[in-house]
Amino acid sequence: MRDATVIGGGPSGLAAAVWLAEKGYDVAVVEVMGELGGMLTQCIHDGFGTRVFGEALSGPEFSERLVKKARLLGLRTFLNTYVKEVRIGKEFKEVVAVSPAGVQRLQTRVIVYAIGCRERNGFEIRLGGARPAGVYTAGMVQRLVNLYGVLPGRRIVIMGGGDVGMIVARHLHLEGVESILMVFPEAGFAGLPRNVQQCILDFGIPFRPRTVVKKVIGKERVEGVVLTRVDEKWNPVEGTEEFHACDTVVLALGLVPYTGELKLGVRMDPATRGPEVNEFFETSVQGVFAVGNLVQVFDYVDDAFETACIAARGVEKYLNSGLKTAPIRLSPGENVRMLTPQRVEWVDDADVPVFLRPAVEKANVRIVVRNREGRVLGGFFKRYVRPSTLERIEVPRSMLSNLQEVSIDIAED
Amino acid sequence: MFTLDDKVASVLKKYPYNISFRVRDNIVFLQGEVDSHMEWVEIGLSIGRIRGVEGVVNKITWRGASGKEAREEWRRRVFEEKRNAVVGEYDVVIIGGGVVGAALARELSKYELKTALLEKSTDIAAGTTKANNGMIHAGVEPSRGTLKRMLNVRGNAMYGKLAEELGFRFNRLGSLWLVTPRTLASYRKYLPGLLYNLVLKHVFPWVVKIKGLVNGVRSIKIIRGRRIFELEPFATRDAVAAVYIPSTAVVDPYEVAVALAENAEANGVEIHLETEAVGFIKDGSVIRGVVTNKGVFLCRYVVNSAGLYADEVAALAGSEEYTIHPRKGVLLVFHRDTGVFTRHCLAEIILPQDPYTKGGGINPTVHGNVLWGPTAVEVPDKEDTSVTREEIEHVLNKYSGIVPGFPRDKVIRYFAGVRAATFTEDFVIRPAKWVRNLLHVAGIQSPGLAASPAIAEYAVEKLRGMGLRLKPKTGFNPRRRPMPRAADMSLEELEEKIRMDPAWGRIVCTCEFVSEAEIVEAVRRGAKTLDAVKRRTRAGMGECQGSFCTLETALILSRETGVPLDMLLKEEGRLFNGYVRGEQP
Amino acid sequence: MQRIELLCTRCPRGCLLRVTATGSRVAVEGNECPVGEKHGAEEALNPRRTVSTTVRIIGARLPRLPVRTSEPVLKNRVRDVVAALKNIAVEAPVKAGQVILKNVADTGVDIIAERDMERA
Repeated sequence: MRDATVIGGGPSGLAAAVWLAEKGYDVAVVEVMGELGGMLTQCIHDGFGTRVFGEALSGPEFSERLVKKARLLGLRTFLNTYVKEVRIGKEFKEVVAVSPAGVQRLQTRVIVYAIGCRERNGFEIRLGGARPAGVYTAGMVQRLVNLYGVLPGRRIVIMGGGDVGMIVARHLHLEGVESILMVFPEAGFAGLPRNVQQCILDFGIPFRPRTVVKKVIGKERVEGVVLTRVDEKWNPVEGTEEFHACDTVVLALGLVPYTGELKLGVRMDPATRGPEVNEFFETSVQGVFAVGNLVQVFDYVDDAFETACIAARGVEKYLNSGLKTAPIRLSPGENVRMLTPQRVEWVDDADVPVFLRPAVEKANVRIVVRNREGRVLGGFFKRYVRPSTLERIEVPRSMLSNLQEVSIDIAED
Repeated sequence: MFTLDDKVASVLKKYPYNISFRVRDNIVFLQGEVDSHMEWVEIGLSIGRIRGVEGVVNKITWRGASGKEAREEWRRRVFEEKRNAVVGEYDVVIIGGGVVGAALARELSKYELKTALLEKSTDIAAGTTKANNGMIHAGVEPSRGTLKRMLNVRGNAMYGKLAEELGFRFNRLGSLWLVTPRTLASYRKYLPGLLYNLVLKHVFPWVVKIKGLVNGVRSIKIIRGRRIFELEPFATRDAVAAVYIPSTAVVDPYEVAVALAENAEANGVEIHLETEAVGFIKDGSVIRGVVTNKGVFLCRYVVNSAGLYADEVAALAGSEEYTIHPRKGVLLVFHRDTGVFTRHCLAEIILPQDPYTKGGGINPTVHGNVLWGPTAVEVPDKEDTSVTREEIEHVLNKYSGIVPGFPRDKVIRYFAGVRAATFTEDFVIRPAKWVRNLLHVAGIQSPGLAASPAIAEYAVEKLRGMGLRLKPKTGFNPRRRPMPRAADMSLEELEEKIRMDPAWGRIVCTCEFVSEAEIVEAVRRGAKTLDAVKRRTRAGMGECQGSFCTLETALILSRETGVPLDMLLKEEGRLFNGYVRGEQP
Repeated sequence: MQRIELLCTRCPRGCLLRVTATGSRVAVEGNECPVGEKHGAEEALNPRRTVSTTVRIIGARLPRLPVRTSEPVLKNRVRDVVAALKNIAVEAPVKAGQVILKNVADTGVDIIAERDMERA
């Protein structure tokens, strides 16, 4: 029986597997695609790994470093292998996976889920109109262009002003489409300033804030979209409808943890939309861990990578029968949209990294940890926070001792 | 005694427009101009309701109506180009490959005949058939004296055997029509106090049951109280009674049509896709050949089952006896997790019916998803399958009373289909009045899917009446090998399949558990486009709606068909367009 | 004298910097911190970008090989770099870091492969 089976061979899954293999644990990685690397293989732009590797790498370069390590360590990998069922037994767990080689039944003591996120589609935002050819999610377009050299169309409208939309806009612009228009309901781009500057402003790609696609027009292929302005609450402003001719609509509507593929009843957090985890990224099922974008969508691969390394330490504790205490619940307080982990329960002395998504855009704030009665236990100064940037704080364990509930707020400094 | 002319004239008098008309062989031709499309519909319908009217050809125009000149011009050009290029000679040519055309093709394949089925799209079932709720109605609703009534009950009864022979999914789960305090709320003023509840609980269900029994629907039961919630635990608690109709069933409508077409083809019917009728070669009142963009199909009989375009085909053939008024229906698809909330096709009876959602309700599908809808909205455009946010809200609000605890946010998709209604609002299955060898099978709206096997039989009898000699074929094979599906297999079965062909082990669509082997199989069975593959395999129909598997499926389709990735079609439009920096591979 | 406006990319705040450059003298406004000033000056005097794209690869599992400039190139040369790669094709196998094109568009920078690609 293996010590651990990692489901998902993207950066987070590989990071966890490599960490454990380096420590001598018997680990396998199960990957549904034909190669390791996950979404990084299509993210050919640079800027990955500044924290993990201390330099700006492209997606493929980041993943190659991990893949090479995995190869050196002789990590067992199952490619083109899809996990159909997971069985949780008392003594061990079983991963039932399907691959061209047959049905695999992998017995393991620990499961680490690292299956990432999926893109929100047009139906989730109730996009109106017809469904002709030419409406695609941004990630699919990125894969089409960067792996297969095919363009989705010539005249593009991109819905969404986040990082994925901006990066795809740059690719499409450089690879030769005729026109691009980005629209998004927010007053400004929702992604990193770096991407606004280097993907959009550098190339003068047109964009319209406070604008959404009301409906898609077209019979066989997209012929255009009806755009409408929206107010601060994203409600359409009457009389602002306008036809815009295009042949492609790219949906960059954000990412959500891909929990549809979790085959067991772990407890979910409606805020992160991922599984609830403790400080070592263990889900509500003992010995089943969840890492990376499956837990909550991170802005940087470096963060996802870090969660995998933290989880790997947790896996090690689990395998060596580490002790737990009564859980301390962490919940998002004022001005915090969501946070991870949702509970702290292992006996350990390391600080607890907490990842949190601000609900506001503000300068000079303190991220404040409070007990149930509202007493401030500690604070962390931040020069600037905004919802599109995930924040990370290190909460000393001493701050949490003997508590049951803790909330984390963002307050004026 | 009033003549039909008098009756038509008296109806038209009610409208403030100059509308002229002409009646020929009980077909009413209308001409004139009105302000809006809705008035066009209303006038057509009021003429269609006159007893004795067998068809309404509504040539009235309305302000803002878009012309068909471009289409007509195209047809004329193709007609001239192709009128001398003979494809072959046939006993019967069927125009239109929806579920009705496919059922007809299969029915005709039982006889010694040379039959061709022409479909203008890239796949069978790509029109009205692909976008409905898959319900096999029991037959309670159609009114007396209609073809719908006769063929619905009969068609429903034929489905079990058909499903068994053709290997499509079929679930006779029954329907439950709830009677609630809202059911007769509009009539409350006539039913004071306790009388209302008494009528609701004890009189009204009987009215429904008797209507069903008169139509020939068997085993209808009236249930009350706790028994309702034993059958349907999540149904609204204020249901005072329910009418249980056990013969209602569900199918996957395109699976049915594809199965029928595959079996017809296996029994010798030629299926010609991307083949559109543009005109007819005639000899007096007899059709000698159907001219298409692929050439001429010489023939002895023609069946017009062209659905939304049946009126245009009839006109081209010289027997325009009806006008289709397209009626759109919006449906919401819910995640498979919601399957636990409904065990039957559920509806709440509300009278009078909401004109925008006649009937409709909450229906489980054969795949475990749940559908809400459909609406019924008259639209000017035969291909208007758009869905607006308002329509989605309308459906959500209308049906959420039926199962109050249903997770309304689990909508994974929505779509619209367009029904091919005529103004007489009944099926039109009869020999053409002014062409001797043309059979109309038109106006097939709900319950057309349920009726289709019976429609096919009935239509073939009509052809016999028109002089077609029907000699049973000795080698007719009624069976079709069902599409094998990894999702339906046990692990052991799947393991065995993988041993034979490793492609069974490569899962392409993880949401619906679809393997590469199934996609290859769909292509082998004739799927040429991404949507054709999707309909046959369900790849892309799950939670993520294809954001992961669209490209993978397209790559396999490209490999199997030899069509380059950037030239593949979704349905009729190109999926992608061009190469990075114009670099052709 | 040259004036440019740009977003500072050094932190999530994304200050809008207004930079005025006169020869090698640079004045930065709109920055909330010293990092922004430095960034603005750099962007005015020597704005550089790493260019990532793909080239055709023959004989591999995939038809495209991701490549990038080995060093950032001047921002106004980005389009030239991409244009110079039109119709460039390489044959598998390729190793990550392998030079695909030397001195692309006379920038003095090479185009290198971002990943290994085996022969299929």
